[in-house]
Amino acid sequence: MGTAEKFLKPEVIRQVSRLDLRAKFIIEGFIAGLHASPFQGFSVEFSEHRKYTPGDNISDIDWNVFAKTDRFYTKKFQAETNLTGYLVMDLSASMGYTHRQELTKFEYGVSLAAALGYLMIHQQDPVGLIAFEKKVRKSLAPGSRRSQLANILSLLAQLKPEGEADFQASLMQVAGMLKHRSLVMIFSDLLADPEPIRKALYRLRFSGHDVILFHILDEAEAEFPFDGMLRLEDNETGEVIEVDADAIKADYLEEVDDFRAGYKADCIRARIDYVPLHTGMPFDKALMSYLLSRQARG
Amino acid sequence: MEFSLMHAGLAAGAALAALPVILHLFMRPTPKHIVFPALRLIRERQKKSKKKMRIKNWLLLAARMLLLALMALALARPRLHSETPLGDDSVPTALGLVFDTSLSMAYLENDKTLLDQAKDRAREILGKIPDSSLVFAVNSAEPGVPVGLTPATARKWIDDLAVRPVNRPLNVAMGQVYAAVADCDRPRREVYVLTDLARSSWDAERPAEGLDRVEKAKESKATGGQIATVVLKLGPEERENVSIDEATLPQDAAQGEPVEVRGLVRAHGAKPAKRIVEFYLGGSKKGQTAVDLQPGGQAEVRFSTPPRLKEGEVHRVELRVTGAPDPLNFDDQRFVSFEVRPALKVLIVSDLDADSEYVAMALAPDPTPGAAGGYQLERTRPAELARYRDTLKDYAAVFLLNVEALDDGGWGLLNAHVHEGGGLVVGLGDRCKPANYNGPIAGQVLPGQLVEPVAPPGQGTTFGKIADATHPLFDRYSREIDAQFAVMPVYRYWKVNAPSGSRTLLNFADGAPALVERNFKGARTGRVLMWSTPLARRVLRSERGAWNEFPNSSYWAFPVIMNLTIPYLAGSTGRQLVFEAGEDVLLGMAPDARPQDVLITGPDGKTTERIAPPQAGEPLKVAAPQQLGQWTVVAVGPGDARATMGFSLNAPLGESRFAPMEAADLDVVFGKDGYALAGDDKALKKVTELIRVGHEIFPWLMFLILILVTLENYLANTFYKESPGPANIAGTSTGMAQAGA
Repeated sequence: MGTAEKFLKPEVIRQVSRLDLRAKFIIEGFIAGLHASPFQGFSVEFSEHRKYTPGDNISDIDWNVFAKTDRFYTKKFQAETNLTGYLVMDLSASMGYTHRQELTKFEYGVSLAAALGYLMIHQQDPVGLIAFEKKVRKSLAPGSRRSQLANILSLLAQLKPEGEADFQASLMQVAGMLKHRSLVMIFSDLLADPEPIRKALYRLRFSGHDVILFHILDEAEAEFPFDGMLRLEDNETGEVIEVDADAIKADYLEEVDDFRAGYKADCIRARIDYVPLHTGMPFDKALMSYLLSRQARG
Repeated sequence: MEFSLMHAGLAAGAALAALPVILHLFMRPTPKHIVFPALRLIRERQKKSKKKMRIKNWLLLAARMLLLALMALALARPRLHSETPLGDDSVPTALGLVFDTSLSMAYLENDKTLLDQAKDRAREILGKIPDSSLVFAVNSAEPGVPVGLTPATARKWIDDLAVRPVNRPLNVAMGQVYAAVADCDRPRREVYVLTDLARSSWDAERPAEGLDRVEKAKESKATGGQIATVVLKLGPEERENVSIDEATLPQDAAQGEPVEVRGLVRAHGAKPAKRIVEFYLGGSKKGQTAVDLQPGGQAEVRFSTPPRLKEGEVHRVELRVTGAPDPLNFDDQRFVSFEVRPALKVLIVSDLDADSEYVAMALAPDPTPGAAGGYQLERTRPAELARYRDTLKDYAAVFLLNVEALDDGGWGLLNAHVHEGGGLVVGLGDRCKPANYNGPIAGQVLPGQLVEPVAPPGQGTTFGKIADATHPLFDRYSREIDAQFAVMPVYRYWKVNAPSGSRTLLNFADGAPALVERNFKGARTGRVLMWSTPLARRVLRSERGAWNEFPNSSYWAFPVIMNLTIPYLAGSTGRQLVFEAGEDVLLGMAPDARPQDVLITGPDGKTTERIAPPQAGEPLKVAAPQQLGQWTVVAVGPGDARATMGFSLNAPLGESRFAPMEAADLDVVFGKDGYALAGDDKALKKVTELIRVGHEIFPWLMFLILILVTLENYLANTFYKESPGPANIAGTSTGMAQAGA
């Protein structure tokens, strides 16, 4: 594994405290990984090139690339797309949870959002930021300048997950805020009543926006590594129950699968990209989802 | 089937079954507090699976509790079918030893008699009990109440044991030992019966005595353990033996005739045998003959004495089997003693030959003139009776058979005859005139008056039970004769009134007298026997004289009774001089004998005993002698006049004819589950372990525990199966290692 790629690992990226660097390292690691992957073509596109097609301006041909690949590529293609993206962060208290005392779900989401923001800014795509709990708490209008990235990262760094989330109200509010067709990237653990969440997602989708739902669980929530008797407390509602970890593990994991599968099925129906993640997973899976989504719109 | 525990205390460990519950209730681990936002997922799942989980947990809890209980139970070494509470050799024991000392125990196997083998076994048993034990030992010859012996004293008692010719059924000995063992307070109680299981040593028809004590001991366990019975079988399954089963004189030994001695030699077992039978008279060998015996076969041998044996002396005959070693010695010889007497004269008076021929045939089967026989018979008609006026006193007995009538002269003669000590047998029949028989002179002779002929309805009646089984006519075979009388048809009989002074010896089944006796005291006792039905039969039942089937050749009782009648009437019933060991010996004395002292010497000639002389006219009784062989009796009269008599004592026949007790017989004697049978040392050890320890079910319990552990593991693994996936967190476990349910 190359030096850059290691930053795709959450346990490595958490060592980097500066969010801008985190975003940079994640993206560089991701791109380095793409060079060695079957998705190599993406990296070319990332390098602001695209295949020459008849009718393109010949002066745009990158001869250096031609020299290396014996194929024609034109530069400056990015101006042709103008996808407005919104990074929508869930600020509910449950997002601040980490079992292994490494990255919280929120930090994982922030890192991922930062990386995506970094990527989009570098692709000249305007990116905005919205953070919500019971309602939209913070928002930053989309922009594609280099300074926008700093604003986004600054705002992300200030955010703290606390309180309860009201997905339906908040996402309805978000839907109302978006003027044009946009790509809405939601970062949430979705630990709330699923029905209102579904309705809110449908509302966004039916407003014409593309939606990528990054469903982030803590590694412990996804894999339940406990044993023995446990007193479990919901940090959002304060509810406490006692369980025998060994006895319920299988059932719990089954429930998690059902939980994810339910959202996945709903998302497929609504043509929403659903990306199940947990805090122990490398970031490339999430980024790849973004790219696939972007390519579909390309 | 009974269930008990060898270490009952350890069974209390079954209470450990409560351990999982206690652990669950009191030692629940303090739960770790963990913040877990995805709690709603658990709650959702719990709603669905709460019931399922509860069932699983209960199942696991039950399996674990059962596992602990079974482990505790297994440690307690449970057993089934156990008789005694402890299996340790150091437990003080009330030990009953019952020895079969019958003659069949003298059988030699590997140069040791079965009794010697029994002694060895008993010593081994004694070697395995502590000195604080008490031993109650009896033998079948003298089954008295045993006293408790220490093991050391019991060994000496056993050393002195010997085979005895006379034994009582072991059923009796069992009763004595059971009672003694039941009263003993030792914690373990065992009774061993050491026997060759010969049927002749048991009464297979009835249970052993004292079984009620065994039952009581079983019910009340406070005073000690139950009484376990072990039947220790000695001797081989198949026995090889050659025996003399019989040595008899076919006929009475009469003066001037050679006496024939008949012997019956039998081979027991599966092998043929060749033997020599030797004939001894008065201790001197007089002849021998070789016999070839097939397996299980028999051969008859006959020897004759010289013709002129001395009259009035006891002559002794011995038949002895030789020619090859025999494992059982006591039955290789048989003894006969006899006296030569003058032939008794008998006069038979009848109107018709048909009425006298059955009696004549019974008394002298071979009618050829000069043929050997015990009696001199003479047949005559009533009209010719006067001819015997001077000679009638020489006749031991007169038979008056279905005679219509006698004149006064005839009755007078008979009256004089019986008053002078003679004997008279009257057989009433269809021809008899009651007026004549009830006449004044006849009335002085006859024991009863004729009333009328009676024809019982239907098929008639039969003879009833013998009224006096001790009467010399019946005492020897009373049971057997009774059995024949019970089926012997009687179509008609004379109703007879028996006056005082007469006694009824036999009745018909309907209660009417069949045989009445009247005695006339004098220097010699005269006797009159009157049968109220004829001593003859007719071929056709329709014939007038067909009154009964008594003389029918199907019944042996008729000739036997007739042959016993003559000596009885002649006053010489003690001529039978051959007896079985244990039987009371009755020796007839001369009518005028007045012995003052009687000395009796056994076959070994070493010991002489003095017994009480009999009353005048009574036979001499020797109570149950035991030693086999020729006995000598000397009656000392006034002036030191000595009369020498003797008799022979033989072993009971059943001792030679070995027939083993079957399992069903033992079931009758001891009850189906009341005993354990052991054949050899190995079996004895096994049986002893079985009765002391029982069928241990430890291995089965352990097997059950194994299954249960497997089941518990399976359940736990199934219930707490880890989800497939990358989770690799240490600490997952299954089975007992997991927390209580």
